[in-house]
Amino acid sequence: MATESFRAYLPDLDLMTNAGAPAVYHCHHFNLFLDQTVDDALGPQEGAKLRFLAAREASHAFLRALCVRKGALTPVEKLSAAMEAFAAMGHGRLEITADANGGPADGEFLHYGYSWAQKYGQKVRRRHPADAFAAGYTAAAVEIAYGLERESVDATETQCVAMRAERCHFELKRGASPPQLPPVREAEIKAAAKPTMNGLYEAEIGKITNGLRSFTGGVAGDQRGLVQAFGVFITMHLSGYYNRITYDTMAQVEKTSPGSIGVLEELFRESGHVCVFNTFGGMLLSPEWAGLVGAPTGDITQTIIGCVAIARALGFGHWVIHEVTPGSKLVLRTPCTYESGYYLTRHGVATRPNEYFFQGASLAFCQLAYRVDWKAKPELTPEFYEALFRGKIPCKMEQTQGTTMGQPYSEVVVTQLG
Amino acid sequence: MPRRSPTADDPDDPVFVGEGVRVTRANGCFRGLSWNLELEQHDWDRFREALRGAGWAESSRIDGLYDYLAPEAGHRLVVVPASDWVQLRLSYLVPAERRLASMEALAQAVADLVISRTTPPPASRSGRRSPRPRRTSPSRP
Repeated sequence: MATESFRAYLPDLDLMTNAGAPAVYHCHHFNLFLDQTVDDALGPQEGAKLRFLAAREASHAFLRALCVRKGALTPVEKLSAAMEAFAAMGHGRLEITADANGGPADGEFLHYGYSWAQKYGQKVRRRHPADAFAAGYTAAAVEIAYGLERESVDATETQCVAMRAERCHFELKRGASPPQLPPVREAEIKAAAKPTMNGLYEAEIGKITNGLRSFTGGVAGDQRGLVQAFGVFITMHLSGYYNRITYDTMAQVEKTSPGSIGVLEELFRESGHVCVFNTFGGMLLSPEWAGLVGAPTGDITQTIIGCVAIARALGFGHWVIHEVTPGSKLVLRTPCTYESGYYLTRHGVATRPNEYFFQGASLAFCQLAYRVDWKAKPELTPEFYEALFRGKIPCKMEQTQGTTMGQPYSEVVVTQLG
Repeated sequence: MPRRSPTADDPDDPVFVGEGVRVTRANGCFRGLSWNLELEQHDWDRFREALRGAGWAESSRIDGLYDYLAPEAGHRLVVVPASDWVQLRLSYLVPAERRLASMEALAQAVADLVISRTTPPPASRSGRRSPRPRRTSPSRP
């Protein structure tokens, strides 16, 4: 994997970086769901614009550091490094031929567009391009390659496979550079993190986490730049992208439609359900998990232990089990999530708990632990997801502490109802 | 004759039964890409040798698990000998409508590799094999 040597985990925090840029692993279900949530909240035009801006910003910081580490000096070398890293991270293949004055770029098997077409293309006609992340990444690559001012290149996706085009196509041009936001890099994430902690079952969790990291360290995009694993398409993604589209959407909706905030928060939490059901579930049911840990037994505590280990391996943060009473109560704590460092750096102290992914994932852990018959090796179908997560969920989730609120750790309590 | 079951809603119901192989659906969100193979013969050492001989590239990033990449088309086979678990993962490039047929062809090809490496010639082993391949699920790749 071209970028593998640049993957690192912050000691004791279990946050991942790629060339110093905050990064996590997420699957296409999560990626498509989060993008769709943003577009639903802001509308497809504004949603795509925000997603482009977030991608360009996060990608610029990543690519600048990547090119330094790879010793890429010329425009050709820098563009080559950017395209190679894009594929290695599972985002597909880009061919950037634009130069300092703009121009075209093409994409094949782009993660968003391709996986959208695979998941929904038979049933839904998409009317807007899906690859704002690739557009932003491409714009940033040209900025870096030609030494242009940060965030000064615009890119528009003019053809998209999600809209049934043969391939994706982008047109780039020089634009005005917007006011630049404070950077959120490894240093800022470290500074925002609270003192780390340990919880229950640390030895077991640590062993599984290390095994998974070793395994994922060898996973790279195939010749088309996609990673097919655990029944999903996986990406190594820039967490700055996720965070900016989440919190900027929240800020925008708070201004324009404050009555919708509750619904939006619920959708951001649901992104955690989507991730845990598909990626965590897929991992638990995989031969790889059987080889590494053993087939799931259905033991509630063991399922929770497995989920926490997966979260750490995917770079979500040092989540710990503070309390687990099988079938009754789960308390997870963490000194940091991939959400919290960003939020504190960019927005300051929050007035209410807002680590939505941590919240939704914690509840989903309990759903997997309490309500899935693992020995039956169920298929993780959309129907099964609906049965688990739609309608009345027999668990109550509450975030009781939050580092984004200035508290010493974040804590989510999930209690079984009835 | 190939046979497909009318519903195959139970994950344990085979979708395809071939000569020396029974196939059930595996977890996987994309339609018809992941399949579990139950092979009648599983002398894993010989199986590995047979796969390698047929051009499947072997790798192993986890102790006790072997990952094979097909000589063409990007299909994979994951084997956990300790639990006799063999999972076939078709390439996502196979169109949805062709995945069932691709699975059947590959599953049978894999089973044939095992059979050819682990059993005597057909004349003396006919009593041990399933009589004919049969497909058991028409509707749910």
